[in-house]
Amino acid sequence: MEIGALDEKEIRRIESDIEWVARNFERISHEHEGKYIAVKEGHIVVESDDFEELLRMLKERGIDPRSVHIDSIAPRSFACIL
Amino acid sequence: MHPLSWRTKGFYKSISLGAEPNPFINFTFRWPQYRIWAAPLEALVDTGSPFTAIATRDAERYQIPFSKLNRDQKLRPIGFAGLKFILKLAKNTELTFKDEEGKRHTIQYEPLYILEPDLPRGLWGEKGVYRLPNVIGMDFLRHQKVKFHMDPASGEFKLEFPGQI
Repeated sequence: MEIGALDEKEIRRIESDIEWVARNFERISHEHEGKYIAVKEGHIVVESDDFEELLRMLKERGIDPRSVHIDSIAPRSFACIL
Repeated sequence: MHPLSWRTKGFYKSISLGAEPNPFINFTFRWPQYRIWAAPLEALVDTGSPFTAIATRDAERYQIPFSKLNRDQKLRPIGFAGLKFILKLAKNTELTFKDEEGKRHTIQYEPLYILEPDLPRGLWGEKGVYRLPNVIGMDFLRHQKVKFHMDPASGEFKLEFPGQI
């Protein structure tokens, strides 16, 4: 797949996944504290403590990291003033 | 609301577990120079930030080559969440927002920055650079004449754009 070559349907799917994480953030953050998560169609398909490892795991499963929503569930200890 | 203006609805999400939720917005990022045709992303709307930037996490997964980008010579490395970043310039980019009726509006915006950590690469993960979100800053809000409607207690958050006149 060419970088970012998504059609309208795929764009809408990723937008839905961004919204799904936001709607369910409270639950997800407790269940996956400290993880990076890759989300597709309302499911966490891969998670890891390490972002670069997450990208590797996605590629091993044949999932292009650009075709999913990737989010960070930063631990409590990461609380910061931006 | 002016008849030509349009609104996009945002949402609230915490940056870390237990923190207060912050306002976020969805947009689609396009950067033909690096063959990024349509990247659906989210960004923190941060009135404390003077800059608008794509953070390291999304820059990495879209394979944006930091070394090929020029830094903004006018600016020294900036502090963001206790970390230092070099601001790399992204030219000829487009940000597309979806309004409340589902219509998409594209904005060509400069200067947009890519955040390159001012750290040895081996420390990026350990120091948490991938934890930080993309940011829509005051520069974007001011230049695009965006109005801000937010009511954190009710969960409402909207950006109002002036539209074409």
